[in-house]
This record gives sequence, C-alpha cells and structure tokens, in this order.
Amino acid sequence: MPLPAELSCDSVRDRLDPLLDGDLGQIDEAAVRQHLDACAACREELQLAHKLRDALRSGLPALTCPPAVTAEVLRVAREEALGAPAQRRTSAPVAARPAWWDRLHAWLAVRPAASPVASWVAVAALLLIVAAVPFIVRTVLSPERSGSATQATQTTRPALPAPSTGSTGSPAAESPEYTPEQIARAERQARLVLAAVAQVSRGAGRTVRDQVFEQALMRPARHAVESLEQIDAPADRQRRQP
Amino acid sequence: MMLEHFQALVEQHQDRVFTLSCYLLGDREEAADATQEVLLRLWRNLASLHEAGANGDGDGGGSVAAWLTRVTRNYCFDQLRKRRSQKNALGEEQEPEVFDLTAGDDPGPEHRASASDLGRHLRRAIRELNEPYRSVLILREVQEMKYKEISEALEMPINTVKVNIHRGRRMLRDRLRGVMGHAAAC
Repeated sequence: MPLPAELSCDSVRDRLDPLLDGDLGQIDEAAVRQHLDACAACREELQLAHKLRDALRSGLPALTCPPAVTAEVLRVAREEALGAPAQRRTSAPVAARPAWWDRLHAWLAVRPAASPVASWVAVAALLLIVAAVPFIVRTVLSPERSGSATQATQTTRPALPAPSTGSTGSPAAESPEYTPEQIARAERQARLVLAAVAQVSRGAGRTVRDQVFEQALMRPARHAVESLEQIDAPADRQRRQP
Repeated sequence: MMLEHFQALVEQHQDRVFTLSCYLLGDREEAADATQEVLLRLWRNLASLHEAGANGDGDGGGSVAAWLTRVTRNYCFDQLRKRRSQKNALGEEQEPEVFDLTAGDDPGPEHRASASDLGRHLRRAIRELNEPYRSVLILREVQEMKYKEISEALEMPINTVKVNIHRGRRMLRDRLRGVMGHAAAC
C-alpha cells in the first residue's frame, strides 16, 4: 500500500465528516488519522464534528402535519372527485378581479382564496387610513396644535428685519422681507415636518397591518370562514345528491 | 378508488412535506399552507404521475416521495422569493424568527433537547445556509433520507449529494463553534 501523503489542517477538516460517515478511501483515511495523531487542534475539530452529529440527530426532529391541513386537502380532493370545481374558500371568480386587487392582496400578504371576509375588512381599514392622512397632516402642521411650530414662529419673528421708518404705511413696509437664510431655515423646518409625517404614517401603517389586521382581524376571520365552510360542506354534499 | 389511493399517500407523506416546508420557510403557518398546496398538486397530478411510472415505494420509475420533495422545495423557494420582494417593497430587512418546535407538537422525551438553545441555534444556522447545502442537510439529517433518495429527489449525482452534505456540515460547524463551546479553528 502506498504511503499516505501529508495533509494540511484545512484538508483534514474537509475530510472529517467523510471520515465519520466512512466515505473516505483507505489511503485518504490513513493520511487523516496520521495527521490527527500529530495535531491537537484537528483532534478538537473532530470532537466538534462528533458533537454536531449528535446535535443534528437530537436537535432537528421530524414534525407532525396539523390535522386541519389533511382534512382540508381531503375535502377539496373529494369535491373535485365528485366533479365539482375546486371551491377553496373562493367567493367570487378570481379572473373577474382587477389586477390592483391582487397587488393589494400581495402587499397585505393575504390570500384571496383563504379569507374573503378578512380581505374586505383589510381593504376597508386601508381606505380609512388613506382618508385619515390629510387630517393627520393638518393636525401636525396646525400652529395652534403644534407647540414646536408656535415656538418656531415666536423665535423667528424678532429676527425679521424691522420696517424702515421712512416707508411706514407703504405696501412694501407691511409685507416683511426675509433673508435667504431665513427662507432656507423655514424650508428645512418644513421638510423636517413632512419627513416626520411620512415616518409616522409609514410606521402606523406597518403596525396596523402587522398587529391589528393580522392578530385582531385576519386570524379570527380566517377561523370563522374555516368553521363556516366546515359547517357548509356536508350541506353542500347533501344538496348535490339526487 | 383513486381517492382512497390518494388518502393513503397523504397519510404516508404529509409529515415529510410539512417538515421540509417548516425547515425551509421557518414558519409553521406558512408551512401548513405549503403542505396543503403541495398535496393538492399531488392529487391533481396523480394520474399523470402513475402514467409516468411513479410509485409510492421509490422503486424505479421515480417515486412519489421524490416528486413531492421536488415540488415542496420549489414551492417553498417561490414563497421565500415572494417574501423577499415584499420585504424589499416595504423596506423591511428582518427575517422571521426561527419557528417554535413545540408550538404544535408534543416533543416527547427524545426531542427534549430540540427545544433547547442549541436546537434553536442549529435550526437558525441551517436556515442561513445557501442552497443546495440547506436542502441536502434537511433531507439527510431531518428526513433521514438515503443518499440515493436525495439524489433522486434533487436530481443530483450521488457523489455530489455526499460532497454537499459534508460541506454543509462543515459550514454548520464553523457557524456553531462559539455556541458549542469550541475555540476558533487555526
């Protein structure tokens, strides 16, 4: 038998799993074992490979499919076997729906076939949010309600250039003149307010979608539709029988 | 007759489909949806599968198990792609948490270690692996499939399957070194 070639630590580490699986050839195995005898770090790596194998065996169990999934699959299969079209919780023909409907569903991560009631509730809530945006903008920008806006007005007023005494009463004196600095500052403040409004509405939309829609509306609606269908299924079958 | 046969196949394969979906998607609810979809695809393709010579045992002609593995994997990849594009559209980057193993199953004494931190780290590390390492490791370590079965399911030569499993394990080792209490390799 030819002598095994010397291996580097990296090559040995590539061969540790094949070694444990018994997938190494005779010569290769001899070379790996020779290296392991001399290298403590690679021996420790072998121990780690052993540990990982144990962890993989105990830490990744097979799971059990929920019975509701099996029941739904068999129900649909039975319906299709009887010649009825697949009625998977669909209340209206999918083809009749406009494209925006599908895009909206995709955004809300809701399946039209899974929960039609929840879908309508979601659309209604979304329209409410859209309708509320102008009100939020007005509220935030209103000087009476916004303390920071009032404060900004108060601090900028004294900085305005005083009208010259010689032109008192003229239209030019009544309309105050602003320096480019003041205009730039006002623009910055307006941008900040708009950015804050956009941030708040984005965050609110996300929170409503994740927490209110999903937890309070979608799940209960889905369960309700499922139980209604389970109640309806035997009645449908009886109706179809001559 | 066909329906009875399908029911038998569902009972035989549903847990494998659900398990693979759960490990790939990392979410029980999405995995349940995926299982339902895949099993219904089996029902709708059962006649053509039989015509093609597939059988339930995996002996010759391509097995139903291999077909189901392929379809489940493709379906889950589609879902992951959709999830990524939705996240991009919403400007979100956070991946969902690793699924809770004990949410729907009674783990039993032999699986008690699975609910531990190491099990959680392991499931997360596997989900973070790239393909095909993630799939081959799940099929080998979780589904306990033989090299030949994996090779058939993923349409990959047996030697490639072996190499991918060994590389995947080494990647896991490197990722979990700290968690498993070993110093960094030299």
